[in-house]
Amino acid sequence: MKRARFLDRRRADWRKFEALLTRAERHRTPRFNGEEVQEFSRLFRAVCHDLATVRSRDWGGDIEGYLNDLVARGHNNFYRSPPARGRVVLEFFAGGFPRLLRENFAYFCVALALFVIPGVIAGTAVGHDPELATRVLPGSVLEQFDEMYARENDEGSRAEGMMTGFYVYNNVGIAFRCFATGILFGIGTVFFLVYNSIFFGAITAYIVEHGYSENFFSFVITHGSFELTAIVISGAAGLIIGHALVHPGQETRLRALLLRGRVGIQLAAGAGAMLVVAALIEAFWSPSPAPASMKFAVGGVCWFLVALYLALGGRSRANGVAAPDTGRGSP
Amino acid sequence: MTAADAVRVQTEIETPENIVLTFRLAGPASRMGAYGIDLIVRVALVWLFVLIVGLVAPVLGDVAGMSAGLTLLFLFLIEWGYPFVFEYFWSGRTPGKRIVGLRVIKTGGYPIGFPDALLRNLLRAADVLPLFYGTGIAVMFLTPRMQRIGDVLAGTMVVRERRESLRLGRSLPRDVESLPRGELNLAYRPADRTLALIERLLSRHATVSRARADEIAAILAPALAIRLGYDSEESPELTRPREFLMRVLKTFTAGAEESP
Repeated sequence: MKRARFLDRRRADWRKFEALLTRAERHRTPRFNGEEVQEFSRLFRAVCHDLATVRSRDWGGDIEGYLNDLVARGHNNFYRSPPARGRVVLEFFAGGFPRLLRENFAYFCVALALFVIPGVIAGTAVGHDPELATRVLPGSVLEQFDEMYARENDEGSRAEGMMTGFYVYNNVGIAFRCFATGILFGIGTVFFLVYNSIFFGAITAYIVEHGYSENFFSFVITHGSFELTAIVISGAAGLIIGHALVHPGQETRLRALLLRGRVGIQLAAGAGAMLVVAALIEAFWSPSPAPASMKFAVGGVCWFLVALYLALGGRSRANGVAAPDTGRGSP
Repeated sequence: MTAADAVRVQTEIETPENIVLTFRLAGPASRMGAYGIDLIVRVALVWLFVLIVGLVAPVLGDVAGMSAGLTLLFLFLIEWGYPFVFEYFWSGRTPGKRIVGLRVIKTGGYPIGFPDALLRNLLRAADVLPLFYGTGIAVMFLTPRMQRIGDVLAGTMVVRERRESLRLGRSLPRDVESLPRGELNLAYRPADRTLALIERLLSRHATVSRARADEIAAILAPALAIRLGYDSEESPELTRPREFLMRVLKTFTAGAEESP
């Protein structure tokens, strides 16, 4: 009769715990008062104990399954991490993101090389022999570019809204893919970087050859500061996870992936945010009828700010922690 | 190594309370089902959005390609954000997962956090290659917790949720009679685990057909009958082994199970 008596005696508590769980699961953070929190933790321990009892006496799969489910749900609610706050996001962009990038500077350099060198080679080749451009790009694409940059900026349809949507959809998607496919031993990332590099190199050389360089460079310089940097950063993020898989170092492969994946996703998210900024600039400012000289000035300032942000963002805090005692005597 | 070890469908987690929790892992099939439902929901959402934009744009005036831009933005959010947003705000469940009964949790049994949800869903871009999540499914068979690449990096797994309710005593129809006490060998009492086993068998009437239940019962019934003092294996009780097991269960669990 022991089993039956056990069930009879404990069932009320299980029901109570079940009711509490159902309430807890309704909101992201359970809305309990002090008493209910106490009750919850008492019942949780009691149910854990019951599960152990049922297991040790082999009292049947149904009860065990039921209690296992209760404990799992309790565990889930009891140990949940505090919900993310807006402040965390703000801190990330104010300092965490550039700091993390500097910690992984080597990856950034490799991604940069992969993104620059093939493009320079392709550009030089097309510069020598413009016919080569047709090998890289289909004629229709080239014609489109011809038309786009031959035209003066002040005319043309106003489609900022549509272009913003398009640039976000296209560019952020490419950056995310560039990051994610890094897990395939880095191959995907390398492919995306080299492919886009060759594309940009060939296009640039082709347009310069056709004498539209002022239109072209005044168009790309401003948003390029965010866009090109972000693509290299997403490449660096992809290389980080690829490297963790190929060469996990002192950790096990699984643990290396967990640790480095955490770094990679932060960089990729930062790159995504930069690309949204770039999309807005590219849609609203870059095609605007402002004179080329002004665009070059604004573009230069943007490059400078991006470099400044990535090089110095979040430094004051790191210094403050490293040298807390030097500032004595300040009023 | 048993068959159950060869294909791992369960995983165990030890909690700080020193309790080992078991989770049933979700395989590719159920996850694909959930994915399919989500796909339908996603298409429906996009369709609805386009419809609304199409109704509103002529009224407000379509400035600077705003409607096309918003549609593209929405497409982006649905493509990359849909699973992430739902899994984060619904503690590990998208609508599809909710319907199929799946949940994403950390391999430690905790709910997933913001970076976990983001990481596992961005990495879909790698899992989906070369076609139809080929890489993801291949990796699922190589990892002990049926994780696709995104799960491995985020430290998450997809489990089947079982919402089991206790329906003890319901496995017996009301008209089952106890075995007559006088005829029994009172020195013997079936172990609790045996009774639990009978209960489990009887409670499966939804999934185990009556004939199959009889077959299974016929293995246990004679051994029990002999121990309970019925002289031969040909005793009339054993012509219907399932009913016999019901009566055994009733005899040894009576009283406690009366309460509804």
